Amino acid sequence: MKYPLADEVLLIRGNKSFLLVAKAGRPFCLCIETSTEEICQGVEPTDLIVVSAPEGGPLEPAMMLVDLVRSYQTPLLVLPKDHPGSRRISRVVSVAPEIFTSCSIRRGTHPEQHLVCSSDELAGMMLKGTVEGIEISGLPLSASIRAVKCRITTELPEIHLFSP
Amino acid sequence: MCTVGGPVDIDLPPDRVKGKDYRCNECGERFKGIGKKPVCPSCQSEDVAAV
Repeated sequence: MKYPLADEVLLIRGNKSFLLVAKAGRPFCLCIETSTEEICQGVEPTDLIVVSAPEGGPLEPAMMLVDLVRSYQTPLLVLPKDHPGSRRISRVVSVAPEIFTSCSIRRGTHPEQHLVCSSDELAGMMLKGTVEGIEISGLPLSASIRAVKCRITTELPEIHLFSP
Repeated sequence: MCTVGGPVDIDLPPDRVKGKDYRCNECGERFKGIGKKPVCPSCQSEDVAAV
């Protein structure tokens, strides 16, 4: 199935988990930092940014992850295999032209960007970025898809100080 | 079930992300890059060459 997508984000929601899918939109360098080396990935406009929340939860932190990568090119940190912190990670991100969802990998320990850790209910999908949007195959019958728009803004209200 | 600290993990070979060594022609930065169009991590230039 093909879905048109510009700068908005696609929400793929299962019963207990979700994925956010966005297009990179422009070329940039994304650094992947492992415990032994730095790998610099040339990201292309049609590449996908996929954030997976295998246990669900609020959308906002996942949207922030999309924004950190897409707008600010924040480096991705990869934990060493068997690192105890893997079980604390509730959201993971991958950036690649094609991304497969898998429930058989340990969160945050794989530098390969063609895989993203998902829940079992959203595993087995293939997401591919195109000029018009994205192609999705293997979408579970129980999953729903909708576009999401979210802007992270900051307000700096005036604070009036009163002298005694 | 997703493996979060559990024993199951698909077996991927070590050093599985193999990048090429590049040098930026604009700022001289050397880096290991992957992807069809590598970009310099320091100056974001696409004018890079494999070394």
